[in-house]
Amino acid sequence: MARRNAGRLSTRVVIIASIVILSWVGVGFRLFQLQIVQASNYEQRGVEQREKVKVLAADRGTIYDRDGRELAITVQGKTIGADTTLVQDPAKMAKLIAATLGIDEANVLAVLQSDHRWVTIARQVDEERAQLVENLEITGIYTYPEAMRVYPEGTLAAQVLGFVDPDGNGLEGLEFQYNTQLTGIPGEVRFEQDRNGNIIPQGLYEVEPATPGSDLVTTIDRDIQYIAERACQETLVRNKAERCTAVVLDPATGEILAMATVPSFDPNNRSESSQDDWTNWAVLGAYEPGSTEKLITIAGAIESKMVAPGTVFEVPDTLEVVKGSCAKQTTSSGVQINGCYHDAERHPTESLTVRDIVTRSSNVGTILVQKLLGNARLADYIEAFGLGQKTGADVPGESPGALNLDPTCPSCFASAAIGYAVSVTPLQMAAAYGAIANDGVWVQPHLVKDLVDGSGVHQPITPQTRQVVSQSTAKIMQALLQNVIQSPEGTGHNAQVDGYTAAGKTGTARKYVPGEGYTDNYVVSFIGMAPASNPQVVVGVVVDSPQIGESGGRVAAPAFSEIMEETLHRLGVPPDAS
Amino acid sequence: MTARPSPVRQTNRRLRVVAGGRNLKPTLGTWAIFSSVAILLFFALILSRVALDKPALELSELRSQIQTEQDRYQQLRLEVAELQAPSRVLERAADLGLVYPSDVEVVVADGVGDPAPTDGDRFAEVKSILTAAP
Repeated sequence: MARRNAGRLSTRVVIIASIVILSWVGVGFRLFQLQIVQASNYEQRGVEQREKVKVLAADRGTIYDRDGRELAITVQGKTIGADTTLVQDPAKMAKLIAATLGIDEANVLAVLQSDHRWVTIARQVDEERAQLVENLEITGIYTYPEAMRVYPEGTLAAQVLGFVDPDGNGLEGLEFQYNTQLTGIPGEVRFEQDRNGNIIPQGLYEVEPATPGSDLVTTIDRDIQYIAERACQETLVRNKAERCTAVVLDPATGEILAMATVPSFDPNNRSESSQDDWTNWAVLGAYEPGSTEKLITIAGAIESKMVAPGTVFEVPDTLEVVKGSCAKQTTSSGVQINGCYHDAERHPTESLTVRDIVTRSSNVGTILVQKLLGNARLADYIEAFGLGQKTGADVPGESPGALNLDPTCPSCFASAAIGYAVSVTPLQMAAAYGAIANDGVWVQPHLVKDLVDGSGVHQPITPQTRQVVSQSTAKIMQALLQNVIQSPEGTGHNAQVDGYTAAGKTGTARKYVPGEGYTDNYVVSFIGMAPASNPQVVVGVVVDSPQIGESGGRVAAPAFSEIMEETLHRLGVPPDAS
Repeated sequence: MTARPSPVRQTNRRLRVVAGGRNLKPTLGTWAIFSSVAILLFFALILSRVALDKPALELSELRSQIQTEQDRYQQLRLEVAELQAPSRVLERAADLGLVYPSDVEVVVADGVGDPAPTDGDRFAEVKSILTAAP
């Protein structure tokens, strides 16, 4: 009996021992699986759970004016989002949020009622408004910091600066042109966190700092830019014009002190503006310059020794370059015949010197000068003064303008001599006048004078230069242009500048609309320099389609005068006239 | 039957019998000391860990503070730029009753620099150029 019991006990012990051993073997096998076979996999998963990598966005570079005043700056804004599953009564909350942020309630409601769990209500809201939303303490509504681009001057130089998209990519203007340099290189921080998302002290914490974008130092003078924009705005209202563009240039350095286009827009809130307002017309708006182009014809003729200021021409009222063009202006099939030219005011044939031709802006007289100069030489000078080609100014999408100088065209060169058959941008013309102001040396106009990277290394911009005409020719042209303003017969009398002598030229041209031909609207302009004794500033004003006043002398010259006077005061240029 | 000598049990010379074996059992006092030391060591370990973690936490706080201050600096830069905007200054000046001068008068101080040429002088220069023959 005892032996049988001992046998049963032994069997039980064996069974239990086997179970225990098998369990341990199982545990051992599992441990082997976890620790040896799948070790790297679990290690990786552990690291993934613990370690986090956060991208450190690079600060976008600041855009400064020439005196180091911020024109575009990046600050920390806040983005407002929601967990739609947590938001109670979306209609009520949408009303509250929309009222607080000043945005459309319907849009907010649509976002809160969307099928997505995580939604964005408003991106890059300023701290103050974000705080107001936070104060509402709505369950499911949260905020997080996000960099935002701000233009503290609002509409000032808006077309020059351009703007960025919400992700910080430049879309227009300098923001687009210098996007790579401004953007910088993002960095990252690698750290370990606990299950609640807190950084584990003593854990991994590696920082690869972001390289901030370069700062852009522009040639723009904020105050002069404001002066130019204000004068343009006044001109626009006074003359009921479509558009006004002004360029202020330092002729010696090619630095653009101001580049204004009105109507403008606020890059901080561009949703309310049209795409037309974003366009920098000073570099994109090609127009036929009219009489301001005569500067090139006359300068070319003087430089080529074909004429002198005192050379006399017998100037009729009308000049027929293409036979029959004065008798009828269109062919039987309705095609416009070019080739009949006349002066703005009727007059009998009279003897005019080159000085008189410039002063009175005689079309016929200028064409007679061009005949002496010749077609090929005129084309050479037009090219030398930079027309028909991009200036190379650092602005995106610059227009080269267009030249219609076909040697077989019977009227093209005569037209080009007086500013038709060519289209130019306001900047090209300002640079051409800059060459005369700068004693015959054309200097490439530019908007950026320096790039400063995060380490403080400077990359100054060096513009191209070329001698277009001799110094003596430039001086003669300065004097001729001065006469346009000073002489009682001059067309630029309204361009006089208090306390300074000024020199310049009016331009009035019928507006050409592709498909329609020449319309009843005009593009009027005045481009000039001051002080005439030693030009330090060039100002060009171009006004599109004024409904009141149809000449450069009446519409653009007063704006020129206002901009020039205040610019000279701002730059501290001593007066040279009483 | 032949008698055989009984085998002699070899004794381990290293072992010896001592009296009062009960006295070697750990007493309550020993346990108390051991426990105290263990607890002290445990606290010392925690303290050292806290001491090590504290600078890391402080560093983290400082990083956050630096970021806050940098953000504030940027905000202040923006505020200054907005306050200095010519449009705002002009508006404020107009509110204060400041106006543009209607006339600008040029005053030349005697003995300071060269006197500015008059319009007449300037035009005389211009005329000489204009009348020059080719």
